[in-house]
Amino acid sequence: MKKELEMQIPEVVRQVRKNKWKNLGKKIWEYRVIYLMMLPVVISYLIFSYIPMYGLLLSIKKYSASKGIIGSPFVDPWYKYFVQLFQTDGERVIRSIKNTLLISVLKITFCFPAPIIMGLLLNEVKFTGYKKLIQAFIYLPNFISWVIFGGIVMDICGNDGIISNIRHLMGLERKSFTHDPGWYYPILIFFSILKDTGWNTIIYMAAISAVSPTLYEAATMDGCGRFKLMWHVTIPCIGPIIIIQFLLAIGNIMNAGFDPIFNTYNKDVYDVADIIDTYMYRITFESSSLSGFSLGTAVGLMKAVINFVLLMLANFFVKKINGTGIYDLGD
Amino acid sequence: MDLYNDVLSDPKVKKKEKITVAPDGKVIPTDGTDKIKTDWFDILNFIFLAIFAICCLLPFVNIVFTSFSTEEDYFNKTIMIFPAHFTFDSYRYIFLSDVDAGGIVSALLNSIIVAVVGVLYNMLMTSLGAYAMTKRDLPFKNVFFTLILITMFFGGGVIPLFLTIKDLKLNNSLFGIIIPFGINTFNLIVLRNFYSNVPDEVIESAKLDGAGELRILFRLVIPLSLAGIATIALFYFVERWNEWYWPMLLFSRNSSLWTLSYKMRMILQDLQAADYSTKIDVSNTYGDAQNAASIVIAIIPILCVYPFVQKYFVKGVMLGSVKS
Repeated sequence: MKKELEMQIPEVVRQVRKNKWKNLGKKIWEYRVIYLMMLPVVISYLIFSYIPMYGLLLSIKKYSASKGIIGSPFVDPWYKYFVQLFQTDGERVIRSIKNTLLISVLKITFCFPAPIIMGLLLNEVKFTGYKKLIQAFIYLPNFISWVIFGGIVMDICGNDGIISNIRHLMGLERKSFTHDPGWYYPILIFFSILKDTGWNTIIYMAAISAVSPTLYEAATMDGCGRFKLMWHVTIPCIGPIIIIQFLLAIGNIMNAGFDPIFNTYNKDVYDVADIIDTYMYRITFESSSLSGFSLGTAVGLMKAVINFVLLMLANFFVKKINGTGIYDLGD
Repeated sequence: MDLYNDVLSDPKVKKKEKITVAPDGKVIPTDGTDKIKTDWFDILNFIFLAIFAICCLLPFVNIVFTSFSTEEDYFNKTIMIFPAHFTFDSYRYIFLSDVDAGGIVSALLNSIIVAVVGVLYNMLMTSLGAYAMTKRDLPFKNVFFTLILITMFFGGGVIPLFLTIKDLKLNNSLFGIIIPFGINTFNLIVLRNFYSNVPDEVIESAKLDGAGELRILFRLVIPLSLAGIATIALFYFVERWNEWYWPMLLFSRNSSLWTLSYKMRMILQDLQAADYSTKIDVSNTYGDAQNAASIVIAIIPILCVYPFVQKYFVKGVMLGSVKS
């Protein structure tokens, strides 16, 4: 079969085929400076992203600081730490998983639509000066780290904060809201919205501005008022972006947000606030034994695997809807 | 667009006599007059957006005012709208008394070093990588790309990276938080999109003039993509300035290496008393006004940089995100 094909191919192509390796070598030499430019980048990725992957072995080894990762003996049985997690601290592990999912769902319900709505509202503003002013204000909280923002949150909601003072004025007793498990979720969601919404409107506003004005004209001629325009023209046009963001959010469901929680939680709310990441941090760095490292790695590995699967699924669905995946960027 | 043609060619659709198009492309059906009509929704929208923006600003305003007041005022206040006695006491305390190794001044200096050196290092690495990725027929390009992309999906996690850094003995100096975090893959991809916007002809003509790849990158491509550079540099700067987790993991025993964000965390969480190293003076806890003052100091650089780059990054993010 191959011989027949080869007899039909013109001479030129055959020559190119014969010199395939020589051509490749020539191209590599041509691009040698580019390869040199890539070298530090590749080395950086190898050392700081791929070697740590090897370190995942830690979860099945009994870590000893003197022997390092490679020298440490395999723990016996290999799944000991995974099992230990559920045996000794099983309740907390399960609770942290439950909290992670709960907080993620709450975030998707409230924090996800917020930038979309804000983008639509901002789009309705007819005075560009006012629009720019509002935008400048709402982008700002995004640049402040949660360390500081958490401090501000605890300041406002704490025993001496503004809210407590108002309660005091009204004759009620002072109360620290961040120490109250019942109030923790509302506070978390409210301040997350304040902080993240502004910045996330950028993507949606970019999408909204890409909607062709002729569609608006056509719909207006059909007699659409402002709300009908939004519902029938704007939202369907930014639909693909919304779906991509939504699927990405689902893919990240295991990351319920370490920063906000870590900087606003305290012992009293561990039961509701502990997510997988914070729990993992505590058993690794605040536990007294070195087995903390192995345990922590085991938890991290489980979470990374679930995350990976979810992201792959999300990418698959985005491909089905959009034609291209989230990460198909090579031209 | 099919919708448009269908509407236009449908004889049953009544076409209005005059249609005005507002400057931002919004169609405003008019009856010939040029006034922009504002209805109840606009007013409601106006108010709602104003409330939201104020909510975003109010925490900062509160903190700034708290930092300028005295301790007693803070305890006696009902609602702090404006400080009763305006004073620089807290700032004086911070800058003059807290100057030893774990103090806020050294943390500030460390943060500045990390931010400046870190951003330069980041931009260099990311630019090199992004530029190399723009070459369309680079052999094995897909291999590199896949390698880089995998790290976005899956990683070793915190502890293996921590152990790697420790093994490389990087946890003894500030380089420990600069070098390992050289490239953020998302920024790499966005920057690559910006670089690929430079027309091929320009690069070809530079090559014909005898310029090498490095010169093309630094003298040609980068100046032509300033919007993208400003955006990515800002992202890296904010990331560096606000980074506290890795300094905490790597430097908690080494108080001379603390960065401002980490120091802030200790101050705000009252962790000074639970000391990790014997060098900390346990009595050095902060009062509330001083807390506030330290917060203001921590966010001033961001606030300074913000207005200058704002006009770049909105365009930059829009271009970067829509393209990808």
